[in-house]
Amino acid sequence: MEIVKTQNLKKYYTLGKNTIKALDGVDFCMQEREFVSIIGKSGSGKSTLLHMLGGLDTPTSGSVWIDGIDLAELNKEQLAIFRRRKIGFIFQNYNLIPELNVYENITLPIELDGRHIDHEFLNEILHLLNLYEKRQAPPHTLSGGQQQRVAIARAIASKPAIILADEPTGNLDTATGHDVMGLLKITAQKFQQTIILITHDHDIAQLADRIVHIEDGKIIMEGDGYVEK
Amino acid sequence: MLKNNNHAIITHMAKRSFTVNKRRNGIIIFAIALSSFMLFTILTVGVTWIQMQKRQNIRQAGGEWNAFIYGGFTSEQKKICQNNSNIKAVGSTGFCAWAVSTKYDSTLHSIFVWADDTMWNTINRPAMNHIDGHYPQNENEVMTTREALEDCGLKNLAVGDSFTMTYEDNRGEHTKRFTISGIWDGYGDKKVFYISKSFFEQSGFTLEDYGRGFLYLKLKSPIITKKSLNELEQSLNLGKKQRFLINSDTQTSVQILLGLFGLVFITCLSAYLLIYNIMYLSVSGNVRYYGLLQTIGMTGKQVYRLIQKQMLFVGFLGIAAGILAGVAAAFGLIPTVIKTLGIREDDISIAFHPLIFLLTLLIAVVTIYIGSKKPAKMAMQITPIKALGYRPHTGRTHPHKARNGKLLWRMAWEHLCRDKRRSITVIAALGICLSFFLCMTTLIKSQGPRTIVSSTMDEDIIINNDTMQMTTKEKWKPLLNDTFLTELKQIPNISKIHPIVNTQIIVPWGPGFADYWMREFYDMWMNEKYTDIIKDYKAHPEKYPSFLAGIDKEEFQILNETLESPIDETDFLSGKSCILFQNGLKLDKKKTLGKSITFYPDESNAQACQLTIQGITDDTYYANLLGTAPTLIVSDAFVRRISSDPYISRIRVNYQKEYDEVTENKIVKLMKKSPYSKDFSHNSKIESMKEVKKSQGNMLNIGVGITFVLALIGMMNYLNTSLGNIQNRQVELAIMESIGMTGKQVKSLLIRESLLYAAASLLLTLTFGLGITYILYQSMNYRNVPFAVPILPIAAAALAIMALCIVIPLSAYRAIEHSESIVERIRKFE
Repeated sequence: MEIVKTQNLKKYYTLGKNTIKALDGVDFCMQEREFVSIIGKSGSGKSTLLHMLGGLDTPTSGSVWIDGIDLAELNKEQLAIFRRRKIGFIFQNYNLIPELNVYENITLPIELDGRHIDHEFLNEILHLLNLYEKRQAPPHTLSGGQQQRVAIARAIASKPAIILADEPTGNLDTATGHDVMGLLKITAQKFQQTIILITHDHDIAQLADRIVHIEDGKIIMEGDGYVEK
Repeated sequence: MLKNNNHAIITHMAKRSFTVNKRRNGIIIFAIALSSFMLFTILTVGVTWIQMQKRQNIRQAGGEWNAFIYGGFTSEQKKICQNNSNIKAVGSTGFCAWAVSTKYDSTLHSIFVWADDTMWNTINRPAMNHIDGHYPQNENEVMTTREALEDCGLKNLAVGDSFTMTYEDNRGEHTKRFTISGIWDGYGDKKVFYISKSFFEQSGFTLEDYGRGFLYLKLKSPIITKKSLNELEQSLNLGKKQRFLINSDTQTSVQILLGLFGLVFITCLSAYLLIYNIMYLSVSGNVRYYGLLQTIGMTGKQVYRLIQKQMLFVGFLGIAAGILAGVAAAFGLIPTVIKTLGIREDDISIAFHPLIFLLTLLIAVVTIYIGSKKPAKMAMQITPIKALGYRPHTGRTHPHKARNGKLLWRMAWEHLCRDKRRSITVIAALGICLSFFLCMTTLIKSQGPRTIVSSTMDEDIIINNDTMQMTTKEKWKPLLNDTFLTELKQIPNISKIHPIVNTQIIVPWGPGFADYWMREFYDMWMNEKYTDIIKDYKAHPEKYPSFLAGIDKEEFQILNETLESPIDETDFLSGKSCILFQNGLKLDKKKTLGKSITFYPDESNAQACQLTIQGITDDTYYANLLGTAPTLIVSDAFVRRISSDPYISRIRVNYQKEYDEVTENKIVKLMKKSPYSKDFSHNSKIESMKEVKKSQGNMLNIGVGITFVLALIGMMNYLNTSLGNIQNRQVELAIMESIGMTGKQVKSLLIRESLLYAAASLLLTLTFGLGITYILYQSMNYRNVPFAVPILPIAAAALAIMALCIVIPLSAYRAIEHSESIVERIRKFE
């Protein structure tokens, strides 16, 4: 079943007299429980695509459907609710809330949604990501790898349909990066979630079921072959 | 090693940062300008307020004096005062006669007073608005006021005119033709005829006589300790009848000064907190930048110097802008506001002193230096590695359990705990401003004419029968008779009427209390000795009359509450006991309380009565009629029972609504239509209030001006801090939005944070602020006005603070939300 779909997606920025085409007519789709890596050079538009898919940014033109919902039809408030119910974000800089401890950070999207916290489920995640002992610690006392594991836990805790990971290993050393990605893949499989991963790292990208190459705002190659232009 | 000359590059970078970081620098400049503005305005307006307060005191005292000797004075005592290094001027007055009648009126209230040159020119002059003519030189000349002339029925006379008047001095009654040498207008006792020295010398009184000579002292410095005042009093070797009385604001001058220092200190503290807060926020928001500079080779010291240079630029601009705004507010805005309120233009004089300018400059510079030192050090100590990954993080370093309770309240509370120093500074800044507001409004309210008058006057009007002041009983007139009382009772909106019923009594000599009283009385008040008159008193007690003052049950209950030990009501009302008016004597309670006193009404066929003295009072209200023998306060029923011809000497009236001018006008009309209209006098709360209001000029409006500026500054302070805070938190808020926090939830979170700030500030105000206000109030409360917090303005201020705390962060967030998307905000950090 198709869970992500974009149609002729464009995002243009104006910088002085120049127009920058961050995304230039992207058509992209994903199946449920699929794990896709998007790779491309810096400035190629991969993060912009991720932000569009997550409803963090609005396209200049084109459409984005997530789980059958056209994001263009949602207002700001509905988009925020959509994000916390359907999307789990993992950022390069972890982006944890400094005043909350590990456990509170993880439960934040659930609490924001006013839902009941499934403590058993959370403890399972904490054990899986090896964070149980650190559940009361403030984020800044953790290592980079630990912080990124907290971000993963937060992303999957609300049981979203899709996890969007933007360079999750960018600030980690190679070994930790691989550990974190391994854990992400295992947990996503366990909880039947779809993952879109943005990365520079070809080795990390290989963990995905499918790799999408993006350049100058266009998808130039999917899987093993180039996309026809 | 040779020192690198990197002065030029650091200056260049400081300049560049100044132009590049416009928003951040704008906020700092605004904070410094606000602080300078606050200091300059408050100091300027404060000095003006102090000057006006001084003017009010001079006006209310009728002259610029700090202390006086009452009960006559000797030339030696005058010399001692003149030689005292603390005293600037010594003036004397001699009260030597009182007006009896003119052909237009026979119940006059004016007196004849001689003032020496110092008294007239140095002490009295500041309380006078204008003088026509000159001080009397000749024995038949008088310097007077329109009010005194009106009292004598001579209101149409002018300088140079003559009139005939009967007056009484120590030698008896005389009728004389006087010429008006001058007329003055101003403040103080207006029913006075100032006369020449030669007139005084012919009166038969001397300055040494009790109640005739007064010596007024004006001190060199208005600030004097109680110890110095005591030493001065001791050096005068005062006699038993003499009193050294000190002006109430002189008595509390040191406390007032300390109070003012307190206010200036709080102003400086607010300015410091404002600058420190914004500097701290600014540096902590730019740690990555300073870390980056260190990464590319800038040393910690150079970073420190860079920040100091930046501060030099912004500090200069901020101070200049602040002082300019202060000048505009103090000399433009406030007078305009006051003028709009309808106060005469010539009453507005804002004081400017170069010292205020220098003081503002000094405090602002020192504050900027201290306020920037700590954040600059903080920036200096940032390691490049730490700085590159820096995002303002939680102050919590210890693990903590997940808390229960509503999520947004919990997050708001965590936010407050996150950076305790910042939270405390914001709360302190807001709390201090609110406390300052509380303090100023309480002080202003206590200085309000209504508060001042209400604290000294329980009744709305006292109506007096002036004819009863005449020593000859035959001249008394029944002004306040039953008809008058009936008509008075018919006036609507009067809540209480309490007459004092009097009758003259004779207290025959007796070896017990009567003898003891007369001995004490003559010793204290009379020029003759008791031993010289005792024989005459024993033989003719009717030559030494006194009075009974009869009061009703409610009046008794009021008086009884003021007694050292309350007396039995039934005994008093049934006419078995009485309360003695002490008349300034220092009576031995053992020789007074429980003693019997025998007397009889000064009427034919009167029966002797005997009462037990159960209480002693010093309240002069009940003793408006005094004689030589004791004045006794008894029940009105008792007076009416023993006297066939009692007179009401005064009536105390209360209105249903205080300061009800309509009711008062009806009472005045009632007095005017009486055939004895000229023989009434009255003391009105409304008139007293108007007099106080007049003497205050626009002092209170200046106070309101200060409070207005303060409230504005408090709001600006919070606005600035809040803007800086939201600016620094935009990444964090964007992250929360990215994981699903709706705009409504972000706003709710900000509102909760603000409410916690507001609640903490209010708590601070209600504890610390109220305590300080109480201490300051009591130290400056020389009028003994009861402490009362003006609830309405404080509640309004609290609501305004609440509203402000909610509106500002919401507006700031809205501005950020509209200008940048979530992604753009998150990228700022990445």
